[in-house]
Amino acid sequence: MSVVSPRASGSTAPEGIGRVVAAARARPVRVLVAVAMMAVLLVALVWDPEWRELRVVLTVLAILIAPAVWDAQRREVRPAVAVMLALILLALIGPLFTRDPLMLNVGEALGAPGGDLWFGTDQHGRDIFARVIHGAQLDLGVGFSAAALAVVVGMPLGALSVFAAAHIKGGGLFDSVLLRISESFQAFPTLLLALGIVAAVGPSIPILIFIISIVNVPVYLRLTRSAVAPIVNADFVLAARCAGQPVLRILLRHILPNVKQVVLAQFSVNVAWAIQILAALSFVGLGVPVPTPEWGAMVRDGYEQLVYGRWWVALFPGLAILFAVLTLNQLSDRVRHTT
Amino acid sequence: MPLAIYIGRRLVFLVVALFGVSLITFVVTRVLPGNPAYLIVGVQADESTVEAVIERLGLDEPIINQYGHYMRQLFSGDLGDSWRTKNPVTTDIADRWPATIELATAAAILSICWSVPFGIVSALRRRSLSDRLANVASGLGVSIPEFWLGIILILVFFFHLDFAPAPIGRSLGTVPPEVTGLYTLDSVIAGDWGALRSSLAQLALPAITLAITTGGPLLRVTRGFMRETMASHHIRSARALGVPERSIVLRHALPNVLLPVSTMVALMYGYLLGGTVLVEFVFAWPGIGKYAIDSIAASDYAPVLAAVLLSACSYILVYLVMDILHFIIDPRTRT
Repeated sequence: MSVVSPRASGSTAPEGIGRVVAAARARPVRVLVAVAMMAVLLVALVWDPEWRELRVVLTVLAILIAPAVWDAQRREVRPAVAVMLALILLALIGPLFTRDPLMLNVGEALGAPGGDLWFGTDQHGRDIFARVIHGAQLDLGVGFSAAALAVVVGMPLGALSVFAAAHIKGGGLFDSVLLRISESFQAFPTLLLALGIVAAVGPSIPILIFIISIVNVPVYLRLTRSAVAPIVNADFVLAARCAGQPVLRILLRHILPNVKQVVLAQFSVNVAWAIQILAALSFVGLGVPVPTPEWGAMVRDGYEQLVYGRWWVALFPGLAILFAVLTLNQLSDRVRHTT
Repeated sequence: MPLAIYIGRRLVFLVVALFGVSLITFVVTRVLPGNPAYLIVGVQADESTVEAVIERLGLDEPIINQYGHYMRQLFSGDLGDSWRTKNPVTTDIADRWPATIELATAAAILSICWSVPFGIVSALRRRSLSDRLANVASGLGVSIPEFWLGIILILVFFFHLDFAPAPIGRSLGTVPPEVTGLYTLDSVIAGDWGALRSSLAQLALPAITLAITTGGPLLRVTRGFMRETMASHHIRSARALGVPERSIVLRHALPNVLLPVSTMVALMYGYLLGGTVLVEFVFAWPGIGKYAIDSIAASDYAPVLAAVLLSACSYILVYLVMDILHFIIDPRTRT
């Protein structure tokens, strides 16, 4: 990992609106991406009042990771990113081409796979294929949102706590208190802690995102902490301090960019965890509300059909979880090895 | 540093960690929205019961006093009552704890048996068949949802091959006289081989499920450490001195690898003590995890909280024991 800070020389850039223009000139692609993202967000929010915000999350993500597929410098990462992108696009566009995942059809209940119904039907005659495709939106959307929330909270907090311990008076106490709290959090088995909280608060999609991210914050906090610790007294940080830059700016501009690769690799793993936790919570009946197509809840349906030996109800949603999680883990491995 | 001082220091850390754990469970139940009295007695309880609980927990007092109250309760070993089973939670947990320990221990042993040797062998030659197989096995082990794997194993080995017994708890036949609470050990003590076979058969599928999912990370870590060690200077020196390859692996590399691997094993075991929830549920294994889930389904909150607390504490304890063992085994930690 190279330790560089592009802007250690203090602020010589123009101020105000001139700065924005200069930045836009320097990196036109990034600005384009940012504008496109904002447009998509706006359209999607106006267009869909329900919990389709997850769709927005996925769209943003697709836009963010798409460049890596064509990036010739990241040859190692490309196939994994491509599979991930395909999965996200499937979650976004796939639902348009399937049957209604909520349509009840008692006449066709528990039909084995074959003919039009590729994955068979469940106990209410719903098309399992349609439900698996629709479930992708929810599982991936919640997974990414929860992991993103955990990063946004955990990463700056981790960097701040090391920085405070090294540079700010009384920061050592802050650092050790934070560390003890996160250690205590990590003593809890993730799933059981999430179970306990959901049982107390009651399940709904925003709450699930919130809880899954809470149990993941300590992971980022400690990861960022250990990644920042070796560079917290590096020359460029001291230089920025001498130049009188504010703490927040030093953290965001000079320290965090150096650890982003480590955090990125962890992010991918964490999305996988989030999907696993969500599926597990739904499996025991504490996840999404009942008719919603969600992979873990569908495996639960299959578990109830187990005594009759009907394998297809549980098999396909489980394979979907496996495939998504496997892809994310592979992606993380590749990212880690290219550093 | 002498052992006594080290243990003393670790015990201080232990107290701090336990304090943190209790604080978190307190925050989860008291500070989050919702009336904890209802969580404890259930939604259908009548006014007077709710009032009584509010009185007993001191819910009308300031939050600091409430915390003091809560800590006093914890110290006196009172975790509340389960209104579903009508027992104190501590009694219920004492009944079910051995089942979880038996499953977690069996799973840990199986997991170590396949993943550690596999990791060591696969690290010896890059891009060999065993290396590739290890890649696939660890990738799958990390990614398979364990509840689904359990279901698939039941489908294959119970329904189609008729190889395993029905997945309904710990024993189909007679239960051996209780000594340790672990059916397998108890039946050995009683000399009842039929009971031993029955309890082992019941244990097999859930333990294999957990061994597959926990073995994945262990395999990956073992392989990583082994590769690192095999590339290190002292191994190169040994090679240069003409030490036979067998002896390099077994005498020079292995001891260096087993130490960090043992850390992972301890972490895994600590995780398993609270992480068997889903598998217990799938196999109707009457342990702590199933107790917690059944209680949630009945809106009975005290057992859930107790299970969460217990698993966190056991994790911390396992970690402590491992740290102390390391201190004794590894001279480098004594500086």
